[in-house]
Amino acid sequence: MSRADIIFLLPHLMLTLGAVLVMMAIAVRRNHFAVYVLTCLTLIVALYFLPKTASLPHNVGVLFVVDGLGVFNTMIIMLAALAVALMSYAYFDTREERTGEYYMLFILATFGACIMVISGHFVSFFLGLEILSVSLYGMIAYLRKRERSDEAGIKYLILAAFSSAFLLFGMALIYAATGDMTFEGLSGYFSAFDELPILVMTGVGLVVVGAGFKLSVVPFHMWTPDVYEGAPAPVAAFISTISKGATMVLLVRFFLAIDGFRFPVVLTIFTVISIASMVVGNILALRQQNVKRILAYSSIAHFGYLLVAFIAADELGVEAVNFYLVAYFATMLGAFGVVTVLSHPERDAELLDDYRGLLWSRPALATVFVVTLLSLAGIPLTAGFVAKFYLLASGISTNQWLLVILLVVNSIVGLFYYIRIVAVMFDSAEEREARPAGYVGNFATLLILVVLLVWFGVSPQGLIDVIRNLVGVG
Amino acid sequence: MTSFFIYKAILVVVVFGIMLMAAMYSTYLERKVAAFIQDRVGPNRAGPFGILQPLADGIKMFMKEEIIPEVANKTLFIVGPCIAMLTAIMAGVVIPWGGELVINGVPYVLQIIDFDFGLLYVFGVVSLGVYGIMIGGWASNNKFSLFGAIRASAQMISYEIAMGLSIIALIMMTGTLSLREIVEFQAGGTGSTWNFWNVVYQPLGFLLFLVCAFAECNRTPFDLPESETELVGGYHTEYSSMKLGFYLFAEYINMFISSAVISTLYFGGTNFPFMNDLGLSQNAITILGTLAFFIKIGFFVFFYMWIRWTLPRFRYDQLMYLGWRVLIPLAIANVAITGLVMILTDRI
Amino acid sequence: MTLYAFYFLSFLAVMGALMVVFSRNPVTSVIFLVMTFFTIACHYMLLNAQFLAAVHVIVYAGAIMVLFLYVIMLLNLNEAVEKQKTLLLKVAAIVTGGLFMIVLSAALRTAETSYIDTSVVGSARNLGKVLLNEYLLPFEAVSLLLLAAMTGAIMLARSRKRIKPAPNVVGMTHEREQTKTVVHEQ
Repeated sequence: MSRADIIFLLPHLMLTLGAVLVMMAIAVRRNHFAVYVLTCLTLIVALYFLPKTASLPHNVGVLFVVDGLGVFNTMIIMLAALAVALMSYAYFDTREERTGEYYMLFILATFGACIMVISGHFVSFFLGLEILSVSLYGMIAYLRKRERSDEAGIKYLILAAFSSAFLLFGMALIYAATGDMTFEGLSGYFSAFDELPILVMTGVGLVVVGAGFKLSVVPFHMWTPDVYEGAPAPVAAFISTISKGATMVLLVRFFLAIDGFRFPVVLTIFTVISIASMVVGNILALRQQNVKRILAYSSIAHFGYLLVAFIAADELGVEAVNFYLVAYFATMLGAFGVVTVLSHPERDAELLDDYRGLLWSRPALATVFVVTLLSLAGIPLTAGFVAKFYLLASGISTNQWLLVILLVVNSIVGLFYYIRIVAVMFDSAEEREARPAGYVGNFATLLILVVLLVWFGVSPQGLIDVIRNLVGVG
Repeated sequence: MTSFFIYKAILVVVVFGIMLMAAMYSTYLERKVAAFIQDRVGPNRAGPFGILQPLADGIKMFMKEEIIPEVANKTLFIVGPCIAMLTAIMAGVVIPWGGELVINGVPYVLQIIDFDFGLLYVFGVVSLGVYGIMIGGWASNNKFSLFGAIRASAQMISYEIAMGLSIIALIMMTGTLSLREIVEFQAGGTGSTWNFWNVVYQPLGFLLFLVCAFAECNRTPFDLPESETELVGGYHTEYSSMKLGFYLFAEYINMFISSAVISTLYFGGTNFPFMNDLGLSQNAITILGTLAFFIKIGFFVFFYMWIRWTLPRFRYDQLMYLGWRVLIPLAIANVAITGLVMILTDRI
Repeated sequence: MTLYAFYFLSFLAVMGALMVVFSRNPVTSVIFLVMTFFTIACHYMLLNAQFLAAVHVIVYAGAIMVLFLYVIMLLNLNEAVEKQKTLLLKVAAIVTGGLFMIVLSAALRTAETSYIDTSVVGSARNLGKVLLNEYLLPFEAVSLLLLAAMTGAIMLARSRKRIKPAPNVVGMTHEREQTKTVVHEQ
């Protein structure tokens, strides 16, 4: 490993350093605030050390590709992690659990996600995925006194392990056929074929199963609502954003490398998955009374939408994926941020009734929630709208008419349950107990997220330019 | 090809016989040592000095009534002692019992197989050994047996970790996993080829390995799986006749094998001082080396017994404390120190 | 010779795997699983991956399955406890499994695999060199994976679930239960 390699991996190294420091801090003395500050500092330092754009791309051995796509997504993952960390403090401070280990697992999970977005090799792919999953097992079941936490943790553990087995088997088959595990090498192998050999096809299929679990797209979505419901709200935010986003970026990198969409089989698989996710996600969300579960189904549907741009797989498509991820991250973090703030120490604010009359009792918070919900629904003047527009554009430019139409129809269906939550908030206020004053970090995060949502909704050009500059490089 | 098979077959039979003999006479030795330490006479009726005692014991074992409890799982009840015996004997395959013996110009190595990863093989076999105890203890359908089995499994796993870590420093030094190469690494004597046994370089590693070996063999002070004062007979409470004999035999064979491994790894194996300076022929060196090896093994078998009749048994929490919080950190420290010294002295 | 060894081992492995599924007794299942692991380790040996074979036996058969057995013994699982699956579930499982098998056999029947020279890989020496040079970063990252697993396990094992009082339980019992748990936690 050369000196340059180290410089390019500095953000990742900082994260590992942070995890170890947190561990030591816990060993010396358990202090929630200190650990929390340490976590935030780690993320900020890691962000500071992100490689400069001018020097990209850079390959670290055969394993990591630090290019525009990787750096951009590392950045948004770290920013999202920072937002989750800020939310976590308030959330865990009001609960009696031991708090230190959460931050350690949290940093390690972020590290795993950051490894995934720059990996250009099956080994680093799998390693990143496993670090992420293993850390998440602990995080999901963190609130041990909750009834649902065990169920959620076990469910995630078993299914994640199972899907990892599929993923590994798929990688093994691809390796058996090609004798190569680098994306670069695979791209050479794949370009020689017009039609996939059946062994490789099976391998790719199994890889898609493994990644599909992480993305929680239909039909690999069964765990999502239960896990979201059982996990602490900030962890649910983490799963719905960072874990899924990192997997998506990895898939983009993999399928761009092998130019997977030349093959009709792959195209069919993803089209089916995309349609199924959109339809099933939205329809199942309609009947839910639980806000966390609604958000879970909504995230399933959103990844169905996202696959439309993914299938396009041209430059516009990749841009659309990245823009959509940014918008989706901000929106989901905002939504879960509100859930976090409203949550009671005994249980999370997950029932629709918890939000009844929110607009009158806590107008600021309700406004934030309304904005995020509108953004999820894709209403103009929010980032969600621009993002969805981007998807449509990339879908139309590659003539995916079926997908485009379904996207539009489903967005309208989706509107229904988002608006229902908004309607509940408009209901007449009822007497509710006084809440603790809240934490500055929480409100600052929410404020920034809302500003971002509106800003990207009104003038998306800045973000688009950034994405185009960075991602276009790769 | 045929001669190769014949030579290997003879070697296998001889090694097998030696291990069984060693196990038999270990029982005799155990009683004699116990008697000596407790200032008694010990067995002295069967033959001169009681030398035929193991034979008499064996006949007694075979003659006893064989009882399989009604509620036991019959198959597993029988499989248990078989596994214990099998895994105990399997480890003997990779032990280098001697150097090269040249007969009619053809070299014959006194080792059944020299695996590249011989040391890992030993670990693998040892780690399988616990199944004999666990299955037997569970199949007996007796609470005391089950306790013994559960204790055995927890203990074995805990000490396997420390054992594996303690050996890493040694592997770093010798740069090989083959037991024969580790022996050759320690070859030499005085003069131009001055060379010490590994124990000189790895005193801490040796100590850790020794303690773990005791625990892996379930010998006092780590014999909690069969502690008579609490668990009647531990995992073999329900066993009688030769099946009990198998368990006891397996324990003595394990002791013998672990003594052989300790001698190989840390005490030069078949090497002995001044081996290259006495002007002996190759065959003489080999035969003397094998003799030296068996003397070393004998010493360690004696050492096992010495400890057994000297120290009391640990409590279970003490056992776990020792394994996880003393031995493992020490083993890691040993690895770090060894690495540091190797870098500083350019011995990589 | 190697071919016969392969067939023999494969036969044992498949039989063992089937017996794992079909045994009624969980302990028997575990023992057959150990056997399967052992035969697979032997397959690794045939492929000249000696280190992998040894580690496979040590880790899977020697440690993980022992813990498995340990838990099964403590839980005292037996046939009576095991819940029967519904017919639909059984049929669905058989159909999906069968389909997967068809796909795999179709894929492997006509497969052209790439050739790897097994004489240069597999031994502990080669593996160590590759791991500590080319794959140093992932090798180090694995330690973080283990750290995460360890932290998670300790965290989950350590905190005890407080006995949750039923909603209609009145003061007295509630308090008693609470004190009980407090004592427990200390």
